Amino acid sequence: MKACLNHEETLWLDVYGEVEFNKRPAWERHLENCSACREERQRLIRLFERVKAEMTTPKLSPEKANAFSWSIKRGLRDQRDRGRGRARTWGIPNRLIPALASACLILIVLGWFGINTMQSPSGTRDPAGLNSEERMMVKDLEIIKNLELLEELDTVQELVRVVDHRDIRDGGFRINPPKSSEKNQYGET
Amino acid sequence: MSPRDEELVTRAQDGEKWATEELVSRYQQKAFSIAYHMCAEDSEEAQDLTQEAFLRAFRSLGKFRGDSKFYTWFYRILVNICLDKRRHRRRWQRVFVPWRPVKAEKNLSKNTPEEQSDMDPGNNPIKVLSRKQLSKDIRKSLKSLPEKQRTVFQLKVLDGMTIREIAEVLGAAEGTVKSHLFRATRFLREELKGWDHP
Repeated sequence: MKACLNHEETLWLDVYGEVEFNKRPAWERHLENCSACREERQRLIRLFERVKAEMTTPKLSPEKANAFSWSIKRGLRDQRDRGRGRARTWGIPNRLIPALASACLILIVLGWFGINTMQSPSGTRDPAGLNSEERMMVKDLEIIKNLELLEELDTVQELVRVVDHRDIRDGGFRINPPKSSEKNQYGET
Repeated sequence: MSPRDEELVTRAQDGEKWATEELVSRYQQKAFSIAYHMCAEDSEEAQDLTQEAFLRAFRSLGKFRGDSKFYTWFYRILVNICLDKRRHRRRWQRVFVPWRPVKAEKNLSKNTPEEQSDMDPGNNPIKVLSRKQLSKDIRKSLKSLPEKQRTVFQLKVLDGMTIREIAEVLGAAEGTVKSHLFRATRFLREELKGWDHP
């Protein structure tokens, strides 16, 4: 036999002990007369008792409860200590001071190495470690450096050319030995 | 006579340590029980979550204006922490699907202290088996309930809260709580049909 559908919610509320005070007398009257609702009520109560019995929570033993309460107290103390850490020095939160000090130290060290690198001669760099573009730039730099020498070399070549030309014209000293058919300055062949 | 919650809260707000300790000892068992049911009966995790809830509650005790009872306010914090944890765990389970069911199965078949006491050889083996099966069926049915229905059912049946208290804890209307409770009841009645006989 099925319980009355129109009383289903009241039945469940009764099982949960939540029937409203003003609805209780009417519900109790119905329950007295309806065996199906009575059975369903008993069935649900039994079922929920079994569920409760199966899902019991382990009790915290006094030792465990003490340990638990102690760990909460410790947590609260830690929270308070952390709260104190929020104090400021010169407007900077105290907890940031170690981080800022480390950052400053790193900057100083990097700055020191940077200055040393700038002071060291650039020629000491190993060209083998450079890429092709950098290698070309180094080559260009060498050409520019040696440009003066090249200019001097040009001047020397020009001088040699002029001197040779004058020697040929004046019949003076020649760099190239005269051919056998030509006469020297003394008229000898 | 032990002081009332309101007085303890006022004292704790003033920084009196004994009031804080009294509130902890008054509600730790019940809070642990709620957390235990909400986090798949993992005792260690329940303790961690209860501790976290107490810490969070005392950290924001200054914001508590006394509009509701202290314990409903505190349980609300606890339930929210447990729900967050449950969602977080579910998200991980979704990522590591192949590995998790084994562990979940292990948890399901984990023997509760009551079950272990039933394992005595003097007990009737049919009864032992039957109870084991009942325990398994109950856990499976509760697990297959939608989150809200399960939470409402747990708070009502296992933790003995009233519908009004549950509504306050979950921040929902009483009608909504009733609706979740009725749906859960209907579902469990069908799922556990064989277990309602005397």
